[in-house]
Amino acid sequence: MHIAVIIGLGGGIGFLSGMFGVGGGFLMTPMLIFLGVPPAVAVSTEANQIVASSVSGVLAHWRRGNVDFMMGAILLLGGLVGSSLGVLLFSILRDIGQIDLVIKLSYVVFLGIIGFLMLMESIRAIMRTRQPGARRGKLHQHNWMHGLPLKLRFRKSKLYISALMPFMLAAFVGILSAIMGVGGGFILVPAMIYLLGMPTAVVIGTSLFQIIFVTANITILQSVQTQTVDFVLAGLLLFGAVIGAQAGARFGAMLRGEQLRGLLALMVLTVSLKLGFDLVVTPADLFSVEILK
Amino acid sequence: MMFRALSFICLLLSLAAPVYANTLVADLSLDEVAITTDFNGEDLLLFGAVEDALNDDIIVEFKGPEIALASRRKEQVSGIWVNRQTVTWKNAPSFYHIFSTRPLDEILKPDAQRRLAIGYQHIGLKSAGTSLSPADMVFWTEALDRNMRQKGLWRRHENAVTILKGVLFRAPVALPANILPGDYDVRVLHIRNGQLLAEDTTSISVAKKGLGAYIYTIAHDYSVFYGIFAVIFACGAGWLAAAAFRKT
Repeated sequence: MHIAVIIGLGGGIGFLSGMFGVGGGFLMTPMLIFLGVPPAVAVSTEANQIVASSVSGVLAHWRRGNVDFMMGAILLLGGLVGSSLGVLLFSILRDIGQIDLVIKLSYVVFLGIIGFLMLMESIRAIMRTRQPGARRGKLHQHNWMHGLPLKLRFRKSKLYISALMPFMLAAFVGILSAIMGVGGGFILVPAMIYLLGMPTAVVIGTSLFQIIFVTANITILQSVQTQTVDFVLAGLLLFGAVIGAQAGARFGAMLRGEQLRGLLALMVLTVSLKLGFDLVVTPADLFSVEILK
Repeated sequence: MMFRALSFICLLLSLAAPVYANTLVADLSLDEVAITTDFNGEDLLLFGAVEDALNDDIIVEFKGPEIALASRRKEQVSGIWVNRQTVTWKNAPSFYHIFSTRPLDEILKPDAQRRLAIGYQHIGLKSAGTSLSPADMVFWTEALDRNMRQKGLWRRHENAVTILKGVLFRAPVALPANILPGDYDVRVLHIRNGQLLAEDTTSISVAKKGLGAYIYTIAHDYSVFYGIFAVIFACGAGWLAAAAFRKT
């Protein structure tokens, strides 16, 4: 692949991630796959790039004191367990020749669900702005999760909940991270807000903090297990993405929140549909060959 | 003493042989190909001298290092195409191009191709594990050939060898960008009326060179260091990016 194409792709996805304030891994990995990078290499390399983009992102949040390190540590434990399991699963699936399918299926399912939910939410938000006086729902609800043991106090998040909740959440997202080549922010962030009830201000900094370590863990484990990390490719993507994100953030500031989220939702749904379509349409050749080690 | 006597006899015999007896010399324009970071394939020229080949054929077999391959066949499972069957090849050539003066099947009959072990059907491809029935073998090797041709790694170039005045021959060889490093064996056959008259072999080594080779070695032989380095590199790059765009 040509260097200009890689930097250009990094720039394009960086622009979108800057505009929408998302990590971009869930867009970058499918784009790399569309461009013909083997899915396994795309996933592992993207994990490496997310380490870099999360480091650059977390610094700003850290300076503003928007990182809950206590919560971050619990999420980190869960994330390390989950991502290690994920890499193991990844290497088993690769050996039996099903990794490409599982990567694509995970994208179809999760992007489909997230895109749909986001689209509904932004449509409702747009309707609400047109109908002033509509009531907001209850912010905090108690359910079975609040009955779990090992309760801990998270000062920054102003929460007193069981450590098992963030642990299990992070473990689940860690598995997805390893298989999908994403930071998992697009699942982690809404889950931290709606499921754990964390204040929005600390959610992004805290999730970035834990994503650094989880993707670093994935990078090292994938290097050892499958040798699918290409740090040169990751570096080039990052170079484009950093510049693109700056431009995107400025452009995004000119659009309204609900409209931005609606646009992002449509984009996520499009990627999901395209991947889903590719799985269903009859391949040109039913046979494929793969070089083993 | 015995050995010396024998070799003397051999020498006498070879001198006694008639001059027109089937000599063939082949060489390549390069004896090493370096895969550098910006490697985009390499054009070679295979050339040589042959005797009395005015109406004859030349076949060139260009074979890369043997590797293990997995052929997979998709089937539809509740609407989705899924890899269902796998055949693992223990010893497939990673690169297999055949160049000839005419289509191979016009030059050699199938049994001659088998005897000379030329063509993917005759190079002793072996599947790992349970052996395939002859019919399945044909079916799966055809699929393998199709997939490898798609990647540009296996190919037949008919009418790609030219013979000048029956004595000089040449064939342009384009190595694609996705070739693997290793030793490539070249076999050149001089064929008349379906019979082998002369044969010569040469080889070329393809090696990763420069930064790319260094990274490749580290990634495979010191994978833990490679992973840790990739993480440190990413942290540094991320920090730099944040510093570069920090609002002052």
